[in-house]
Amino acid sequence: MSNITTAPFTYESLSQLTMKEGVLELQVGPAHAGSGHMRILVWVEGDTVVKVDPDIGFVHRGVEKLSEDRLYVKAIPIVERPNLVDTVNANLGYIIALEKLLGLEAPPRAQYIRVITAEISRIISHLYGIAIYGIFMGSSTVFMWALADREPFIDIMEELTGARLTYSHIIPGGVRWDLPKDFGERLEVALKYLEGRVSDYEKIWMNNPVVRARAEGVGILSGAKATELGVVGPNLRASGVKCDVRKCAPYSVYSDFDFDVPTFKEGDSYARLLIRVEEIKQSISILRQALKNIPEGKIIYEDYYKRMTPLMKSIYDEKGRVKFTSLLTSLSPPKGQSFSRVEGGRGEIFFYLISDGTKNPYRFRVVTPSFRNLPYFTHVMPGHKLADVPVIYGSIDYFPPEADRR
Amino acid sequence: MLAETPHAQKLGLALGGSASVTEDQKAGLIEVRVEPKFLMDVSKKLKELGFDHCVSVTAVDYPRENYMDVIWHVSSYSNEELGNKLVSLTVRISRDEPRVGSLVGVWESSLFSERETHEMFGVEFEGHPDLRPLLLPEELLGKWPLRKDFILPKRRSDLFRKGGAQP
Amino acid sequence: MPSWADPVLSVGIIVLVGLVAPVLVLLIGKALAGSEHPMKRKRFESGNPPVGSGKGFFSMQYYPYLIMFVLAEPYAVFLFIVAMTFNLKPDVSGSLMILGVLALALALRRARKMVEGERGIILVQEEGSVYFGNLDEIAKKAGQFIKKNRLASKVINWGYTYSLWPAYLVTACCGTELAAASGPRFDLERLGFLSYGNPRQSNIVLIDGTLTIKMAKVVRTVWEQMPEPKWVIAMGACVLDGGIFWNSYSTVLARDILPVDIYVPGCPPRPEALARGIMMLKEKIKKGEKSLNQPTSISENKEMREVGNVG
Repeated sequence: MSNITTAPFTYESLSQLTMKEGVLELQVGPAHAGSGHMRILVWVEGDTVVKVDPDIGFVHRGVEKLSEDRLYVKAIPIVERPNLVDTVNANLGYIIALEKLLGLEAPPRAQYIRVITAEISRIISHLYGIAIYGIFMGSSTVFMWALADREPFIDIMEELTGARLTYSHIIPGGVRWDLPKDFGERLEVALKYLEGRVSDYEKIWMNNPVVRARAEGVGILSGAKATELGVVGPNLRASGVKCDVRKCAPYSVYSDFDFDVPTFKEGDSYARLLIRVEEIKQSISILRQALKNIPEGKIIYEDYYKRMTPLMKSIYDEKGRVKFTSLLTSLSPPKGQSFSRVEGGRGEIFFYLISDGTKNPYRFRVVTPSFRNLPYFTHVMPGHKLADVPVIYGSIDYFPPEADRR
Repeated sequence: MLAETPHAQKLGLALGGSASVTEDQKAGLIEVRVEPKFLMDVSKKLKELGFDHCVSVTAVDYPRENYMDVIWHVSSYSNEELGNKLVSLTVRISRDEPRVGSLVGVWESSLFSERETHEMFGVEFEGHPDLRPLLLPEELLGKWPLRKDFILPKRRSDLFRKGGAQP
Repeated sequence: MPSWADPVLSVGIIVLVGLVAPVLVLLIGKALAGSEHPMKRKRFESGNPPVGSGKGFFSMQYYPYLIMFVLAEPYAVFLFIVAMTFNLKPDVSGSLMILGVLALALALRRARKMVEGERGIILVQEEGSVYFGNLDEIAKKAGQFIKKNRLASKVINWGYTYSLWPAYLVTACCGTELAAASGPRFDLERLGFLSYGNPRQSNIVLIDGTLTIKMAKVVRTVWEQMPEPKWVIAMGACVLDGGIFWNSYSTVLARDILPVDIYVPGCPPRPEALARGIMMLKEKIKKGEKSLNQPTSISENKEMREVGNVG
């Protein structure tokens, strides 16, 4: 696998390529077991891939245009749906940008709860990525194992919020539900179970000779080239660039926690496989620290608490639940702009808001990590064999509804 | 509020006189405003200073004043001090003739974002090697959906026309 | 017998049966089929209209299968056993033996007719059972029983319900709940639901999530390329009425594209809800109901053809 000559990327026009003899155009289309909801146009010469053109837009629904038409609070479910596997980080990113516009900050207990849910969401997202990578390589064992290991965490979040994946838990000013009393013990049981499973994954999946033969040396992207192309997330850290938004530009209370940022130097598909398991270990350690140090207090901003009616306050005292006051549904932030960068499970999510003083945003911009990982198709895949295409595609953890983002 | 903080002044000196640099402290953004003709030089100088990748390319539409703002957000991976900050490189172009130079030669990471801004707003990036539509189906090409004069239906009865929801 | 009769006879019988039977089946299929959309006969290219010229029609992988079947065919095994036992030459003896068995059966029938006369002899008759009777009458009664209780279609429908294989088509974000439902906790494969890569051998389409204009063309193409009978389950709130993205500029409702049988609401629906939707579809197939939305012939419904016009 080490004698691959990666052809340099050219902007050659399509007609010139197909005129060349022996070049065949394949449509790995939307109705394919190895492509998800996108179309990959692959030009092959014999068995070697010569050029790849990703054709996206099959799940484009217009999140930016829709949010500019609605209230600020109504954009929360819309932002969650494209990143369905990793919803809390998208939710958190939007709310951080909105809170900057409003000029308020959530109380510390709410920030710790946000970090806990964000890390659980990161674990869920990484396990889903491992499952999809396994099924693209043909290993349905890992698919079943990883999907089964997600279920305890989905159950814990369901006891907290009532939904399996789309929680809409974070609102401007705090969070909506407080942690129940035995949350800590249940989460600890799930974390211990996952630690035991990680050693199983190492035996069956990561030290598997078939997986190593298929993934080592395939899809190499050097650190300098990765910086130039602007890729994000675990793919960037597997190429040697040590940049995690939680450390480079910390947000929320991440500066209180003590964790590592694993990196690998090789930048091939095997490194991208290993890094996700390492990040799961780091998330487990952050969760344990958060459970130990969580402070007491309110979970909603003081000003908003004062404006709640007595009925809502009694519900808050009994059940630890914040009902939407009419204030939240009629938010009009002052004029200005704000942005936020959040580290999701797949990479960096970027939000940019411009407000003009009315109830609807004037400009709402979101850039998701899968969109920024698109250069892998055009720049990394050419030069490999056709059978390496699903290996590279599975290793970058590409999720089409997120890339079409909207 | 936009102000000339020490950071902004340092950056302004480094970039030369063709750019006006201000910092929005509440948002944490550094805004660099240039004329379209100085865009290439300023972006090359920013790259030399250490801003090595482009996060997003977008545009903001102001139909009443008849101009559009095209914004490149850039940041840094290799330099830790600069990695904390975000610079938004802004150019103001007219709405009747929306043309601006493409920055793919400087930052290759803006390749796909510029294609998307072109098909959503109608901004033409001169020098872009591959300006094809990326996300929209064929029926919506040329309609520039994200401009402010493309209106979404407000009632359900507008939806059940043939072909789905269109203005 | 002359020496050339052995090979000629065996090869001749095989060629005769081998050529006549498929031609008969094809003719019967053409006679029973309804009108077709032109996309049905085109090449399958992952849901896209075919581009360029077709290459690679020589399917090498079927030749080993052919060889395997010929070698392991029970007829050949039977012949081998007979040859070992009777020490005969294996070529003609097998075919002669089968012809001999057929001739014996016909002779017995003729002999019984000659002995019993036209109506047959009923030797013992207890209540509700006939021991030795007229084969023709029994056959007629059995045929009527099958027709009245629609036994054939019941058995066939029972077969359909346990092998609903969806074409591998994921439309939008509800696809993650479909993947989770195929996981070990909410196993869908125990209901017979196996995602299969080739739409030409699948009989259900599962629309999960929002249908955009670009994806609707692909779904329509795949639908046309699937053989009858086929069903549709629509999953999620976005197919019911638009869901949360109802006034977007690039979404289409599912019922404008395909005739939908079952709707499963939710955003996203829980995997248990999806399993319940599949059970409802099974009840529907067993009863033999037709979908309310089903046009008599898909190519006749003009509205559908306009939206997903794939030519």
